[in-house]
Amino acid sequence: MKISYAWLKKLVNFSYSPEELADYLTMQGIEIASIEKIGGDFDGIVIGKILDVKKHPEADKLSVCSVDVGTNILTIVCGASNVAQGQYVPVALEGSVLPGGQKITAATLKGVTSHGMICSASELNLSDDAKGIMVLEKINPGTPLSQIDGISDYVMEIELTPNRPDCLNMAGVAREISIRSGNPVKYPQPPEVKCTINSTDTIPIAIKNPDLCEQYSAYIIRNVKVAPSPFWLRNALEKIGLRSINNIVDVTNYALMCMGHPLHAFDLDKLNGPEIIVRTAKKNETIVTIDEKERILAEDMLVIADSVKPVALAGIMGGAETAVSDSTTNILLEGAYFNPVSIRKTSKTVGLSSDSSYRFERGTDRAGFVDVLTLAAHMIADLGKASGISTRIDTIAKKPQQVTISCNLDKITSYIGVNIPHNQVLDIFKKLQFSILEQNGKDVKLAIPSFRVDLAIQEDIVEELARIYGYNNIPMAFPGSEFIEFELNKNIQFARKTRSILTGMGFFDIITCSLTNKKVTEEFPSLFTSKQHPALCVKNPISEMQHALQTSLVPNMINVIATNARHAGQTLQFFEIGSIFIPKSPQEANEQTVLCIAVSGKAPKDSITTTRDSWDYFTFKGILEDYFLSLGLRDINYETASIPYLHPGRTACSKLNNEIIGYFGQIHPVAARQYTIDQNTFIGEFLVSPLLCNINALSRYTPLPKYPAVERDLAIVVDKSMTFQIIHDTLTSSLPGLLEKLSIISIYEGKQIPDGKKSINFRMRYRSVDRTLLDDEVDLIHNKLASVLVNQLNCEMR
Amino acid sequence: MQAKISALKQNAFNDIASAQDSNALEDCRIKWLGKKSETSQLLKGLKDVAPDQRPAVGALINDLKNEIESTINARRTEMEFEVISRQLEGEAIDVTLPGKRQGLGRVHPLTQTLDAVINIFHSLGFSVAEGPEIESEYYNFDALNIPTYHPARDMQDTFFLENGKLLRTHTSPVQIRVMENRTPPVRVIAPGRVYRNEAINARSYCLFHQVEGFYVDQKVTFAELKGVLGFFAQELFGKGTKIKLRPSYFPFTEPSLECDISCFLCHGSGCRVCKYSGWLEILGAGMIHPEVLKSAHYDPEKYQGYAFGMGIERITMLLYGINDIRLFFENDIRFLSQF
Ligand SMILES: [Zn+2]
Repeated sequence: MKISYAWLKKLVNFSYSPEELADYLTMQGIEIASIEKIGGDFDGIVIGKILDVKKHPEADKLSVCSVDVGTNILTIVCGASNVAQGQYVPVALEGSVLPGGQKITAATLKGVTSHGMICSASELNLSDDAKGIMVLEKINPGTPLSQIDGISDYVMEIELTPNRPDCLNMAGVAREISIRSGNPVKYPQPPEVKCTINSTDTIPIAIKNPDLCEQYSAYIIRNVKVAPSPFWLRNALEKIGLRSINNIVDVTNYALMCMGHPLHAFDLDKLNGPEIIVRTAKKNETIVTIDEKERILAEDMLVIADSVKPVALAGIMGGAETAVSDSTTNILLEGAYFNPVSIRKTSKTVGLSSDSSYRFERGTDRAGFVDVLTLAAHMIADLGKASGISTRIDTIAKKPQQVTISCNLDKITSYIGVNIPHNQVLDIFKKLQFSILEQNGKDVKLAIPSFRVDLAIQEDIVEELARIYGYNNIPMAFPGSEFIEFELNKNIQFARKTRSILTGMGFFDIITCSLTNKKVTEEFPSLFTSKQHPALCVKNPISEMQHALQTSLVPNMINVIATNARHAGQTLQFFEIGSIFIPKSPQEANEQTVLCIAVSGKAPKDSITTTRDSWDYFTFKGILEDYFLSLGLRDINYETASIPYLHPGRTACSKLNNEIIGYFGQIHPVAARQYTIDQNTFIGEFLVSPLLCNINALSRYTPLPKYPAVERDLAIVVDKSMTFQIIHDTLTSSLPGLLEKLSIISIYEGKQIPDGKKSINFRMRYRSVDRTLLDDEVDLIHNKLASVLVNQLNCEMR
Repeated sequence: MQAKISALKQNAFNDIASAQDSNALEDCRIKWLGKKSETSQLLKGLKDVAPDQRPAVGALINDLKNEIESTINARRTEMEFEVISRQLEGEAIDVTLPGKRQGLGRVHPLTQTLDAVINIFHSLGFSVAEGPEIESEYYNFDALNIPTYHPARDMQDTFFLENGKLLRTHTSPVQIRVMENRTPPVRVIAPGRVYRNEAINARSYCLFHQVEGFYVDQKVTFAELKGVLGFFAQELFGKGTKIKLRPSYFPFTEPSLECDISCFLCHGSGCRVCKYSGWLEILGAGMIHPEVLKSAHYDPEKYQGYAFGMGIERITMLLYGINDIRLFFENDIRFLSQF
């Protein structure tokens, strides 16, 4: 919302510069976002009266005007189409400088010399209106423009929090200034009207829903002349960004912007009855609103109806049929108090928000609005030269309630944590217009002014006290409380450990978006569910790209690799810790934290003298093994696995305690091509919850070996499909304790080995914790293991 | 005799010094210390010396032997060093060539800020709690004193899910979840990912990271909140950072405030980043609204507390001068390597 500095000056006395005012208001909770200077010093710019307008002999679009500027009559060439005889206009005399810096000199336009310039509002930096010259009203020619009240000004953009509807108008902001300056607010008073006041001129008004409309008041104004508004009114509204329409609409807008209460003017002659019924809409009722759109109404929507049909969407927008037009003569001016929630609901459902609904839904001044109605009605009668005005016609369904709040002065100051003397507290209450209904020692009962719809409880009073006392005058204190146990949770510890290990190994930590295209979730379903369901989706996505909750971090990871490979093409190592949403049923998703890790391109041997190798499966697996060990996980097993987007022969799952904790492998060439990745890429995804099970476990010390180890080699021939994991598990379970280490020396296929077989050379290291193993004993054990392989796994000895 | 020894010594030294390789040196050793050497001859001739002079002369000859021996050894060491030196000369490299780097990875800048924030509050005795990203309307709005038709719901564009739940718009629901499970005093921060249904551009993204913090006990005051925020600002943005509090509005706090810090780039004199105000807005906070305490079944007559919340993206952008929020989620190595 825009507010005018000059306008505020009329409402309350203060001596702050616009910058000071902005700062004070902001620190009081009324945020001023920007200050814009309009107008200028206007040296050499005066009011001129256009005496005569002639067509330029050489140019169709130009007029030659003679303009009375008080001291003499000038010939001025003007290009505006709205120029007319009798107008009072701003004239920039020769030698003057416009606010934009343009210097005015005599100039010859197609043979006619122009002595000065008739200005538009935009040329005077008064508004954006550059369509024609600015037209003022009757003022003595020669009067300096700068003497016209409120012409130069500062317009401030105010950003209000939703709890302060009382400041959505000039008078409300003036009240906030008055708290600081100590000077009272000078509210505008209804003008004296010259027409007859007819207390019998009335209209039946019925309120059917007292909960939705507590009071409906109106004035009838007769024989109004709809006309352009006077300059001061046009100027006031245009400065704060409203368009001037006519004297009727402008007055309702003035009342809105100055006093904060939305009013509505009906063309009385177009109301059936005429009568007013405030009711909810009937089934299938419709209304065409002023914006010429037909609105279909629901049965819980409050409307203003005449005897036949709705004529306004209550508090939101009037109907087109009963709107004030140039031919209107009799007016019904409405002022009412509507229920904020009802207005908001209807506004949301209809999809229509207006300056009026914006204020009603935040809460309007229940008790004070009738004064605004009276002000506006008398202004219309005055400006529209009416023949008669009614007295106020009130229909009250529910009486306004005085809001009271009880508080304890000690309690509210100790809540803030500063000792504000009680007389200072009471002084602040007075400035805020809280009146004290009862005082019993430190307990006070406050009556809250009706414009402060946001105040209801003691804590609200604390805020009022604190903001007027000044947040920045409150000292800084430090908690002096008892000890409270505190900890970093396991997830944080896990993430920190993972980051330190993996970044140490060259990996980059990435963060990607958890919302994705639905198709992506179909191509990359969750790895951690046996039964696939469609991904959980957002009902109101802005774009297809942020439609579904991701079921895997893999697709984002592949994208990151693809984009980086395009311009980096070097060694790529990434990991991400993030949430995936595993669909559990069509409507349910299980949120799980997972780790996604990937390598791509060349392995990191970055130097000019060494060649770099591509990443391979075992380098990647080695990284994972080191990482798992660092998390204290010693017993992770690996099995062959199958994932659609991974290489069918190079994919494994990792198991801990016989549960699958994750999958990894080389990306399938088809998937790689789809993402235009043309380098070796390996990727894995792991559930975090099993990985962090040992995060806090303390390692227990194992004594260093006292007795020597003995090594023996073993060469076998076995089916090609036999995995190392099976051989390893078979051997270690056959001989717990003595087989300290099993390593592979070589694997061979080809000549001398039958088709479908492979030869493996193992080296076993035997050691006992309590004695030196003798050769004979080792031979015995070693042969036993060999026979286990022969018997259990169909191996042949070589 | 002494003159003889002295002459012999001089000859031996000259001979050793002129030996050019280890073979020549070995020849020297045999010549001067071998069984047939002049030195050995001198020892043999000792029996011809008068018995009373024998010990003294014997000692002289022994000294001579030792001296020759150590000179030969010294010469040998010298020769070996020459050989090694020549060899090392051939091994010379351009020491200014780049090293073979293992290549460290980097922690994402958002994670770095998040960790820094967590550490500051952890050092003040705050625990860390987390909550789900898929939330119910109750925890995200109602329990936080934002009923269905409250205008404050306009402050946040919400992603609603097909199952009637929503993606949390702040980490404040964690506050309720924690309070439901603990009795005061509680002092907790809740970091996490939150969502806003906004068009993606340089200033806004559909998600961001937030840290919410709160402390509830019997006598927690606004002044203490101010103290904690002041400490936090100095820890994160540097000693000397000042804070300024402006009244504001959040449905879940009363009183509410926005906290600005003195601009750490211009130190208050005004620059482009702080829009020439000298101040940067970094977080919102306030005293927890009694309705919120009631949601968690805390008695507002007995307990009071404060809460604060900050956006990690915004703070990180300020800290590093990043002007496009999308960079955080593109994960371009050229970007990530800078932090
Ligand atoms: Zn600055």
